[in-house]
Amino acid sequence: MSAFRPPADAWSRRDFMRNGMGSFALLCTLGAPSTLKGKRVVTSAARRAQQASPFAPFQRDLPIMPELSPIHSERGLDVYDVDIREGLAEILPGFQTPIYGYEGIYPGPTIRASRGRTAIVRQHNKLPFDSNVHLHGGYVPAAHDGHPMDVIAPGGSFDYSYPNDQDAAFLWYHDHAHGRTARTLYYGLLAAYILDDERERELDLPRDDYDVPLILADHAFNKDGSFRYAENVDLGFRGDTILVNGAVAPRMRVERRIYRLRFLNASNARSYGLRLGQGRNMVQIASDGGLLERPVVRGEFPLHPAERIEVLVDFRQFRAGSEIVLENVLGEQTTKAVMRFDVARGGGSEDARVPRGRMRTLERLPAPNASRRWDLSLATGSSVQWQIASRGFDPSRIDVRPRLGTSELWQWHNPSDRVHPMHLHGMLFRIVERSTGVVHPGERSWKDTIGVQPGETVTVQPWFVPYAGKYVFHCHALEHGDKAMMLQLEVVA
Amino acid sequence: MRHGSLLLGCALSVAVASPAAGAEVTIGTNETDAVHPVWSPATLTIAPGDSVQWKLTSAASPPLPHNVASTTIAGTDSWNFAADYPAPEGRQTFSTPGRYQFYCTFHSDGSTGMAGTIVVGNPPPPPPPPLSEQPFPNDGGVLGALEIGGLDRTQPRLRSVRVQRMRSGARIRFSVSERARVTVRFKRGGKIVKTRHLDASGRAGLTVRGKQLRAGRYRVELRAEDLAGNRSGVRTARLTVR
Repeated sequence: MSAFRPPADAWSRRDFMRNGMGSFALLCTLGAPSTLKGKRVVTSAARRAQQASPFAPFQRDLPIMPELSPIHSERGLDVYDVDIREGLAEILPGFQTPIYGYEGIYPGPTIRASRGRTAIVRQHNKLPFDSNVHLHGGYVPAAHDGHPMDVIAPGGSFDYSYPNDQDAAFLWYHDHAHGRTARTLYYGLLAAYILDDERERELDLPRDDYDVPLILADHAFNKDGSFRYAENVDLGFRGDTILVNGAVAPRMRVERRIYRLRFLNASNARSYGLRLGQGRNMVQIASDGGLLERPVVRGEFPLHPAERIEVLVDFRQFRAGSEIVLENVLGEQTTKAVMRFDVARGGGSEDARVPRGRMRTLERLPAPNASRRWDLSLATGSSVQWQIASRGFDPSRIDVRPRLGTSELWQWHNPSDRVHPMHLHGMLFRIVERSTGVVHPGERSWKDTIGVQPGETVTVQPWFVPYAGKYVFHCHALEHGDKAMMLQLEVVA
Repeated sequence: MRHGSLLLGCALSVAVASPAAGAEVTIGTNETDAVHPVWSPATLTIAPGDSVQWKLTSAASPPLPHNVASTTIAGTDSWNFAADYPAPEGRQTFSTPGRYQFYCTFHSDGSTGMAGTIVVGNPPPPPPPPLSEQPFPNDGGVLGALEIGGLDRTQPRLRSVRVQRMRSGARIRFSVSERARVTVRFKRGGKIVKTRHLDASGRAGLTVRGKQLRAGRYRVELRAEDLAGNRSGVRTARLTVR
């Protein structure tokens, strides 16, 4: 496996910037306000210096990731073509941040798929090291799941085939090459994958411009604008800046209408507690695996790494001209501001509606035919390793072999002092019990990731469908997963 | 990550324990910020022949696990601090001038986070790190008001309601204080015989054709509801259709 290197190293231009232009630009920036007083000529560096800090929240409009267009479509099939490559993103105003990205952008382009239409995503690895792609939350055959050892070598390609034979859900695709996801996702290899179906369309939920994916991730920066990464195997990476769709705590102009906001926590290891304004109502309609049975009103909700929560917010309730902040109540000083909604004047007739009654009926699971307990702990010997049931990842070992079509009870027991967002590939589960209290109605639908709190035991019931084969389950605090907090299961037919 | 390139001035020299008894300095742990623990002090200047003792002085509960790793300081591999408290101590004597970097593998990638440097003697100063390695901390300030404006609780108001009989039917005119959906009901004998809705803002009106209203005396009721669901009071007027 060729060695990972951060995107910055590839840019010979950056060597020049490091030693020359970078320092010069910084000097200009710092010196500008006083030296330019009374002068007519205003350089771009001076203009930048006179502006607010590049970290000031609510300065930029929310970017929306472009949607990927198929290069070929035929009956029941869409083919997409994606380059996994380096790119530059303007995240801090006036700075270029080197990234890795699908199609060279961060976050990558959104794929919108429909149930019943197969999507083939041809991924070309144009990075100098191995990469692969995992469709997180997807029912995907094992060979296309992005198992950590199934990688695309530099210069190679792979056609990922996604059957899309599952309920509408907010999925995402990201890198999953063994041992380096903390860095590859941090530097940008992630994107939204939105699957819809007939049932959702019949609910008259907000669509198009009113259906907005929001990808949250915390980052830190170097003085040249590059992403700064500091490994912390114990807690996982924590950045001092929250990005939404690749912009520092942006603002979003909203009409006085109903919006569907799809939240994805794509942070390495940070958990969020999201609250709108002074605790205004958000109606949760979906979680990882799609619609809840019934909508749930929430004033605040937690969002652990890799989890998704979809809410409807009725901005008609706010006065025109209002500015409503989405706050991370778990944040530190600079990581509280997530984004702001600026309510525009006017407003039109609303076609969408907020569902009030039953939206779906969850499938009955087969009775569990086994019960397993997985202890989550840090092995503190001479080498650092997070473990599940006292084992670290070993690709040559299968840790559990459930039978296709069955279900089991899995207990995640977390005696450690860290949150462990436990994720199961290729399948979904339901939460049966939390030792810390009742399972919130917003968590009672299908899930693929569950934040297990320190000291908590969570019992989940995975359903081993629809494909046999070799998959993994792991902690989605990326530093934990990379440092071996991952086991293998083989679903046997 | 790239320890080698960061170790300036000391090349790959390995510290050799010296029998000469120099001073001993202690490096402890500072976990005031449990998310970003640091060595305390993180940078230390000593004279050749001095010793350094690493001691875990954990304040967090439960204690954070730490260890000491280095590519240039001998013996660190054997100091298995892990999370045992009281922890064993690590000690090394430095005789060769230079810069020696060390870090905790749990909380640092080797150059950032819980990393430290021991400067022995008076080696030439290292060149400043490139901008791509200098932190650019978020100075965006404290989050201010969570809401400006806020919930719309202002009821729309209906004014200047006029009902004008026409040759055939009637014309209703009114003024509404904000954009609202106005419902107009025609009641006869206490029963609603006709309901009309219209989206309006400011002055507005609607016409009801005679075919739709039989001859008789009507009570016309108007009510406005804004986008937020606030409702105005009911305004009424009389209408006689002949």
